[in-house]
Amino acid sequence: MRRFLLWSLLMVPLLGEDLSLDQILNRLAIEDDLSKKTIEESAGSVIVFTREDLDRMEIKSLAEVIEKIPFMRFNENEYGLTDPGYHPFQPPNANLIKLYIDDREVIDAMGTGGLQLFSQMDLGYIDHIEIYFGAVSFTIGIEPSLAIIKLYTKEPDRENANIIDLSYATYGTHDLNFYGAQELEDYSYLIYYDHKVVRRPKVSYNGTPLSRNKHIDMVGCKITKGGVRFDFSILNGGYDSFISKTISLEPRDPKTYLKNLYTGLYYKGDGWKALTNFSYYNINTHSSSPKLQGVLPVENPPYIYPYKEMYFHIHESLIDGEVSREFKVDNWKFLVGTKGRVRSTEFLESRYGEIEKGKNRYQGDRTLTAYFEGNYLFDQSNIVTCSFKRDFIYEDLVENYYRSSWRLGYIRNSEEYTVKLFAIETGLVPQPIIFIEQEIWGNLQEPLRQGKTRVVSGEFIKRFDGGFYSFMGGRVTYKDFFVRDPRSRKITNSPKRQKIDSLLFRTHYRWNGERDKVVFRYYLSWLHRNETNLYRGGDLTLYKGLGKVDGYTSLIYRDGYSGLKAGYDLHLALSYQPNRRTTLYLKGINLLHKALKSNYYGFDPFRGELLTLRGVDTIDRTVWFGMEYQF
Amino acid sequence: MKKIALCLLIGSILFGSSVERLKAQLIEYIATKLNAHSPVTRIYVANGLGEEVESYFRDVEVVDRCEEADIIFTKKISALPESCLNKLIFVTSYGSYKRHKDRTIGAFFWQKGRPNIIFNTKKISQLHIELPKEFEKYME
Repeated sequence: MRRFLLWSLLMVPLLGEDLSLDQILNRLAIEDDLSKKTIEESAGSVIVFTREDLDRMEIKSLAEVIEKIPFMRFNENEYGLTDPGYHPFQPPNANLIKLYIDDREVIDAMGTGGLQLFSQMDLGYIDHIEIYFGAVSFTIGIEPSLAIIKLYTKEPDRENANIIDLSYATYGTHDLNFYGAQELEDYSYLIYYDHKVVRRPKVSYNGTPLSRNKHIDMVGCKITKGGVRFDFSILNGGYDSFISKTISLEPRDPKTYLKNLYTGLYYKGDGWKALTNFSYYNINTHSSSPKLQGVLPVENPPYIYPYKEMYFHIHESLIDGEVSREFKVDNWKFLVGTKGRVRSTEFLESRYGEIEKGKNRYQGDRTLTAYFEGNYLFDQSNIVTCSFKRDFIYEDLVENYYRSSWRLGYIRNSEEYTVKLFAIETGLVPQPIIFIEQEIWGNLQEPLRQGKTRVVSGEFIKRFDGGFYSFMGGRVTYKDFFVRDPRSRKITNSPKRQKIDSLLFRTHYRWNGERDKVVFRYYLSWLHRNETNLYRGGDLTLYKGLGKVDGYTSLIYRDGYSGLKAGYDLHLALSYQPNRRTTLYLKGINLLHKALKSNYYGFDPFRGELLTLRGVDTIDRTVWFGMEYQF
Repeated sequence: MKKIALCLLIGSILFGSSVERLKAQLIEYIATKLNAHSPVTRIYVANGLGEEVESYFRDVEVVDRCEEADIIFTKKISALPESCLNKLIFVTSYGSYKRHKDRTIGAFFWQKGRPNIIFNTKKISQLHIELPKEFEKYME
């Protein structure tokens, strides 16, 4: 206490520091940054991409941020959609990386995680991004997660502008996006529109071209009045679905079309938070192959039916709601809340060659959650956090799941350093896509037990003048997780227990009146007692401003992946502001053409042969030229 | 418990309130350097800044009635009484500045996620205010 008071007295003269008008504005931009208002230090270890960072990056998609998340690699699935993974191990279809936009969890149809669809969108209307990892608090969202990506949309009272951004990139990719935001007398609004056409270099297998081109149109708005906010968006898109589910790896022009409508209503005030969201999806996907699209087990008579064409038409709607209350009693701060979600899935058509499966029996699920979090403040520096959550998941096809989760944490905070210790245990419940696959393959009779995940993590953060450095360590344990037998395609609970250990070092330093910044992260992760097979990764990033020019460069490194060379992805962005209204920019990713690649696998059931498509770029070498204009 | 309360109080003054301190510095800077020939010492801060900001002022006196002020900082001009509309008015909202440009000498607002200052050239010259050189780049 004495030391604190002494230190406080020493700091008092700094209050009188003489700053110029420019310096005051620059400091205000940093100190009053929106991310400082939204960050939840007690929710886990966190990485923040501020508005300034995103502007300097001239960010074009969420993939650029996902690439930098420790312990994770950016990847794409067989549809050419974003599908990042934790390494060295993550249970299949566990969907442990969650995406949030403001207070909404973005969920793609059939619970496949919001990243697949929304990581393609333009981030022009996003203000900043927070990434929580380690033992992440489950008071954010319904499902358990290893990492949470939170996107915060721009606040109209901080925009007061109409911005149009046009860009053109290699291979013919082009993008037009607009946002307008104003603060009016009693309310404020943000409207946005994005038209994006992504053209990518073709990949080929046995001479069959495999395309991953996409087109997306998205329009949305956010209207705020006092503590009430209304959100609305419509997305219409289509894409060439790469390999799709074609086991011969030789599809002929597979396509997917989707429509999404979203609306949400929020209230926050007097310690209360209430929200409700509605999402609707309409998805059509078609794929065929002159060789073999897939095989299907048929019951009567029992045989395996090979088919050359597949078609799905799915409707899905999601309604969720949450009410929570935050209050203080002496040194305790409590958060109590309840959430609910109803998912309705309807297969209007599902066809495999000549076999019309019609409507699947899976029609959705309902989840009801109650949670509690208590933070005890011993004093200004020491906080203990404990939370408990109970989920009731009502399934149509299988027995209901009842999941309990708990989390304990300790945070010690001082001006010089922070220590964070967290432990969490939660259950893994099969995602809808697993039930759908089980039903198709006639495996629903054997119910899946709930899996278990335990995470223990600790972080030490040391602050110094202009920055900080931190060491973090953690262990994730999976038990009874789900595994797929490659031959029968049956999904069962694994009898094995899997433990993953990880270490992370990161540092961050600002200089030049806090205008310039360097960030360095390096991690190691390995299967417990198997330290010889290390997964390594990190990034070195520089943000630099010089007069009217802003620069950003980043080198992202990933290594240790079986059968793949180490990846080095170099990003570079330069932006020039000739006047207050105009910004011209040049942006490149994977400039060395050495980013980590991916292998894709198929199967020839007649020859019993595994088919491999090797060395596919999931991040293309791309250069954009663009212009932003304010009016 | 008293120690904790004292600790929290000092902590909030020094760190939690750095934004309020910067806002106070900004207002004070504009008020004191606005007109070299006629320095401003009495200011009126209306809705939109908060009491905490006022606690950081050192070189200006905050008055309770806008009629007594040399300069008024406000978010909403429409909330000011008629008797104050002939004073120097600096708004803290872009919307207010756009709507009442003929009454304001300038504005502080956020635009594209950054804090901005604008001085209204027309109004400044009407009032024969001589702005310091460093303010020229903010003139519109």
